[in-house]
Amino acid sequence: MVTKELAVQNELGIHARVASRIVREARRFQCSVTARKGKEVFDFKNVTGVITVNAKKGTVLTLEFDGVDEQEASEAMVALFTNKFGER
Amino acid sequence: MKGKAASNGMAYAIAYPIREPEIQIEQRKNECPQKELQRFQDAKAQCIRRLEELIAQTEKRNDREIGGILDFQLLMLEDTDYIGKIETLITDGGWNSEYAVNEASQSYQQYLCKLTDNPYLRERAGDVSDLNRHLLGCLAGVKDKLQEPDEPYIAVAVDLSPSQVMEMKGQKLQGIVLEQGAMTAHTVIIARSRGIPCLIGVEGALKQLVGYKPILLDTFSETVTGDPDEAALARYRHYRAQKVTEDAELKTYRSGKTQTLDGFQMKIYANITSAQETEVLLQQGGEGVGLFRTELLYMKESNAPPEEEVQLDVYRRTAEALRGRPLIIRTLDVGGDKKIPYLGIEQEENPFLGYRAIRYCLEHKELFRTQLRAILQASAYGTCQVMFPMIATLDELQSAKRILKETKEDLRARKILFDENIRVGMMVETPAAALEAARFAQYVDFFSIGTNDLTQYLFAADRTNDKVNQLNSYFQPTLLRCVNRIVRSAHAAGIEVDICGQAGEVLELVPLWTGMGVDALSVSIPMIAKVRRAVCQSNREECTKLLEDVLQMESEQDVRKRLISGSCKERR
Repeated sequence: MVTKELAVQNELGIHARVASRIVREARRFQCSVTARKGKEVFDFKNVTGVITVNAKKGTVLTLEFDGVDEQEASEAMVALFTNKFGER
Repeated sequence: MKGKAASNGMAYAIAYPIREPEIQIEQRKNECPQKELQRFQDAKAQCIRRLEELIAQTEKRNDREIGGILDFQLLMLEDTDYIGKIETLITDGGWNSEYAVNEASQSYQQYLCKLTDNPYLRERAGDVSDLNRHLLGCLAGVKDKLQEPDEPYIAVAVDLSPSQVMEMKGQKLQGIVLEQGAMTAHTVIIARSRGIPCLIGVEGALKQLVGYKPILLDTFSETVTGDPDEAALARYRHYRAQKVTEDAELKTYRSGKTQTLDGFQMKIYANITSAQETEVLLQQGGEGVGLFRTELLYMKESNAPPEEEVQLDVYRRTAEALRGRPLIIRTLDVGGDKKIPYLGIEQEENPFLGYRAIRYCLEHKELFRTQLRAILQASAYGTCQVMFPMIATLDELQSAKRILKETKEDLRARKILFDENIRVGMMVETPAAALEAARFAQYVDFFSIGTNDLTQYLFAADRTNDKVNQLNSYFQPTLLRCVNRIVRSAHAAGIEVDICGQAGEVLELVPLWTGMGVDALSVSIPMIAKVRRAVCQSNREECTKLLEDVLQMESEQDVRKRLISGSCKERR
């Protein structure tokens, strides 16, 4: 399993368009992609999972990748977060 | 039948009723879970197909906003949690699909509604409800697509959603008649920008206009009728013939420069109230937005002003869609005839002379700052400009500029990007500002002349009062001399001057604006090509002579005669 601590950096936080991008990205991989915020766990392959995190700018999420392509998936997700989901 | 004209034009075509299916959600046990599950999955597949088709359409139209909403709905249909919940209710619970879908949708809707700190996600509750309706519609066996008739038609409905209007591709759709509808509704705005005639508030339309019979829609007389008389039909044929020739002629004026025969250049901008109009604006050849009326954003909310993020999203999308073309955003112009209940402005004897626009904003600094922060941040994505409405004194202008400066400092301290050189302008619409234009010009980057208010204030004639309406004429020589002075003062100070009031699109007056050397005319979207044609076919030198002539006149009638003789009067 690979674990990454990622901060939401774009101004508007995870809103609907961003949520769709995250899900589309996560689904490219076979491994599971989940996020931890406090004690709660959210499935990032589901759009309901991503939006119910209710993450705003500055929220730090612990992302967990588990499966054959966990390394690639984690790198892709790190890139997406650092790139502020193509936003600002 | 009578209604209110929401988008001008005439149409004669069959009435095509669009009814929302009545969907009843009863809770009952299904007979066979496997069969019921299959039934649900068929409905889901149908729903997915329909969404994918709509998404493909929005991509063609480059409409990111509606596309984003639909993609979210599509992802919901692939969501193992949402769909899982429904399927469990069907298989384990043994319930019918309708009940299962409704239950699962409602639990998400309720969750999203509770996210009061996150307006973006809260709005998605509406999308879940929309999706719920689609799914229930598919389960009820409603045809998955709006079946457009094969011949031209006029859509008749209680109300239409923007996505329903999108599905009507526009070639066969000749007109829209709504029993409800509102002037500010997105459907109406889309109709207006596409030039589709639309009549709203037509009571009992669905009951009376049925049966594929031809009906005549005439927004100029604000009527729609099932049995038009010969005179009405003759009027329609005349309108139609004119429109066909005109559309062909206007084609070349939907792109390219706005330049007179002797090489004087102007710009044609358009006035908008929402991000969605940008697409049509560009199709019609608009060179930018000369006036973004932000009131609608405030009117759409029911309890409190739109949050910074919501405003930023709208301004930003508009700025991006314009790809570098100017976007002049006017700060909140509440009051007068524009009421926003939750702002708590008391009933006034003379609302046009009352507590409105910048007067209100300067006393509600937080509301004002929120809007300025959103505009400033959007400026990182395009060529945004700020414009203050209803400025009457230099003090007001300085206070507004000071608050803008503080807002910039705040953003800078928080390392938030914005355009440091954002241009700041003001509306010239009070006689005080018009008189002192030369002074005001020292402190702003541009003027935009709001001729509607300027006229009513200049002649002290309420523009909503029919009895004094003859005073509210853009052909009044006093008004023309006043505008001319404002333009000269602006140019003497080296700043840009635009006209964003209705007078800017009155074709007979365009030669005068050209003669004055106005830098840009900001008009309504359907008028862009017409106004550009008027400029392109004119000669600056002749316009200047005409202007000199008119500026000597003393009577409104004389001006009217001089400008209207020679040019054929157009029906608008």
